[in-house]
Amino acid sequence: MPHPGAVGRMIHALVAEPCSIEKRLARAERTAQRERTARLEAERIAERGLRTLYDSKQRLQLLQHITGVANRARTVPEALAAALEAICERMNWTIGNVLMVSDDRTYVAGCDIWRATDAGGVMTFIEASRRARFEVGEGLPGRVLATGRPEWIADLGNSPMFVRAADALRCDLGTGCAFPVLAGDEVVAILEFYVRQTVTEDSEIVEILEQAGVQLGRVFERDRAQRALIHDALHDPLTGLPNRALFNDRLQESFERLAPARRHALAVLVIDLDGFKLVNDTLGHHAGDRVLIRVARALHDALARLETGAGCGLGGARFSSARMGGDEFTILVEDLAGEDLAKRGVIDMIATALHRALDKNLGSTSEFAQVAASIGYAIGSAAHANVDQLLRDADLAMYEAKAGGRGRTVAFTEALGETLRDRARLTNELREAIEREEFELDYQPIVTLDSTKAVCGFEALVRWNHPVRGRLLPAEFIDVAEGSGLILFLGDWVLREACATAASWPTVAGQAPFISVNIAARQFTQPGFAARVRQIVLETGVEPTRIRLELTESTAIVDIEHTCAVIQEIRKWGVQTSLDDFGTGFSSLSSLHRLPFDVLKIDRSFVMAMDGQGKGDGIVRAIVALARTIGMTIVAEGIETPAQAELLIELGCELGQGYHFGRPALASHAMALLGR
Amino acid sequence: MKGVIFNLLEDAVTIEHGPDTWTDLIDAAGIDGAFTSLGSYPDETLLALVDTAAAATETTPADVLRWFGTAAIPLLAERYGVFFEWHPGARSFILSVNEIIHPEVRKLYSGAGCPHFQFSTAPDGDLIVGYQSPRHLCALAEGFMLGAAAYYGERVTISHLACMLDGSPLCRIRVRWDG
Repeated sequence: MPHPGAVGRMIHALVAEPCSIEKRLARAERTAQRERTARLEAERIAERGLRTLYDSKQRLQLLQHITGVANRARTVPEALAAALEAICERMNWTIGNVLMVSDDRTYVAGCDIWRATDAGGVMTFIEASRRARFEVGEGLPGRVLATGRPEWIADLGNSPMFVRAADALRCDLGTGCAFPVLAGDEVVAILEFYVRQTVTEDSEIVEILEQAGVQLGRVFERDRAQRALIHDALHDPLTGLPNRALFNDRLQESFERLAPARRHALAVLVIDLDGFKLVNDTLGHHAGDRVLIRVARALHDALARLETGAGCGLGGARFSSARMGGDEFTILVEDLAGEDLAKRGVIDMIATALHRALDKNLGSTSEFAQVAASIGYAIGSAAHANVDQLLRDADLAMYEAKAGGRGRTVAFTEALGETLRDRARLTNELREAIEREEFELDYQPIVTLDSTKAVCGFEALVRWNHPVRGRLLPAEFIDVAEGSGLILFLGDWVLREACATAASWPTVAGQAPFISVNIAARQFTQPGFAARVRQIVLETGVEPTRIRLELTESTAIVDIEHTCAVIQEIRKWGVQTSLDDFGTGFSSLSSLHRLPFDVLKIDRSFVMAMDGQGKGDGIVRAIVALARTIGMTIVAEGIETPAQAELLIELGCELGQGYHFGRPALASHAMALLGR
Repeated sequence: MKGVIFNLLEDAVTIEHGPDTWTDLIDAAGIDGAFTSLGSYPDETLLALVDTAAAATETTPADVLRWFGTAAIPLLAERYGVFFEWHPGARSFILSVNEIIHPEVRKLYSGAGCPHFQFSTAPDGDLIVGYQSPRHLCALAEGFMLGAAAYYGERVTISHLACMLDGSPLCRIRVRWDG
């Protein structure tokens, strides 16, 4: 480095040197040139900065715009169209086109959402694109579908991958690109863009488009979530079948579409599973769920076969099945030609096909083999004012089917309706009768089967003093009372009345007569039954040993554990129990010894079958021997002749009851028999 | 008018007629004459320069603009090569003006009043260019197109089918490729 003093001298020498005009001019020009070069460089730097700023601002705005579109759009097509418009506009693409991915994701197809700055000039290309379909990997959109990444083709005319090259050339298109709309990782749509110029791949543009694809994907996700919500709200999650709400909607729609006179083209089948509760109780809820899923599938498949008319000529009908809840399914049938479904037995044919399908499907698994279906159906008519009435009729038919046993089909008819209406009327009357206490008890004597034939007790039998029809026997109303649940109130009254009567009867000759009271199954299985008995006994002040509760065999064996527990509880206070109608139910000798009854009543049918020598006697003898072994007292019912009485004495039967000894009579008459 | 136009004019004049001519032209036009490409200057300034040059060369302002446009293209290619590189010829370059070049111009000069051209192809293959601008600089556009053709080594004949200067609502310029 030169000495500072030397530099100073050099500058001084330069400045001091006498200078010609030319030299000074030349120097000024060099200075101007330097300034100019510096200015140009400054301008270039500034331009670069401005351009970058502008580009990023534009891209940010575009992305913001698309995010806004994605937020606001109510439908997927609306969002896609708006985004296409914005991208074409702001990025100067000549053509934009939307393709949607198929549900099975095997192909992508144009959905007629497109935009062109110069539609006339590019019509050939638009026509080749707006409805075009590309398999995975085929062409530009197919490639994007395959890779899930944006693709860029700078020179469309020379790209072997681009299948629309000829159309692109005809429209002077140079460059194309496409990017995926992604819902999560899944390609759900593809947007493609074309421009006349040849443009090399621009990583920034690609990045922006990629982000736009993610934003638009949110619209799809939202749309799917909405659809899923609607689907969930209208379908049963277990079986996937429509639920009650959707079924009612469809039924309502069909019902309203048909003129009243044409409603015979509409039918509703109600299907209730038989034996389902047993599967649930014995094999658990998971097994129950499996049954429901199988049933749903069997119904669905069977209806699909029927709908296509395979082999049954029902091609003109449309079906819609639903799970209404629990083990209840429904099917809506509509004849599309408006034909009367009652004719040709169409619905019976359908029901038969359904029974068969269920049998095939469930019968194949031994654990579900006991499951069947009770089907009730109703065909629409002008008499139906609304869908509820139609559904109600089908329901009633189903109950009727169920009451008749498993695997049956019952059609709703006017006659059935009449019967059911009668039953409903009787139910109402019965309810009023209970409130008004229109009942009274008859007492039939029970005697010792020995030489004295002394009356030792009575069976209380309920009678209804119907205000119009007169005195009714239980056979005329007990079924309805049991079916409607009114038996609980009636049974309660009977027990209280019998207890009160027994309490009022005096002891005759040291003998306190007992009263047998029939207990209905529903009454017995009611929680707190034993406590209720105790309360009534205490309130009426009856001597507990004077009361015998009679249970039928079928009631006793529903839940043997429960039966034993209740009987033992009752027996603690002295109330006795009697097994009624022995031999008419399951006659489960095996369970008999487990049931701690005090008394066993031989059913009248066995008594009537006795002839002093044959099989009938043998049966009674066997029952007597059995009861003795277990330590039960035996009462024979339905003794009508002296011969029967003698035979029973011979066989060792201890007590007897029947017309031979006395008909049922009011308490006052019955009391007169005491001590006779 | 954007400063870059004045810079280009300065370069074109300087290359063809030497640096003194530019200074003389500025002095004769009675203008300030300090231009930066990023600045904006009154349209009248450009017109004053063009009119002065026309008077000095005994030609018309349109001739001056046509000459300027032609001479400006190689200068533009030097400054903004990227806009020229990807075109196989002048036709494609001209067609890109609305969609590529002017958007780029707007990036640098916000609010630049770039004209919009309408392009169509005549049955005989000629390019028909529609031009409409309150500046009425159709001759400059013609010059640019001539310059572009020369840049890509092509020869074109340009004719005005209609002109705003003759009272037409817009100019329709026909570009025919020779040979």
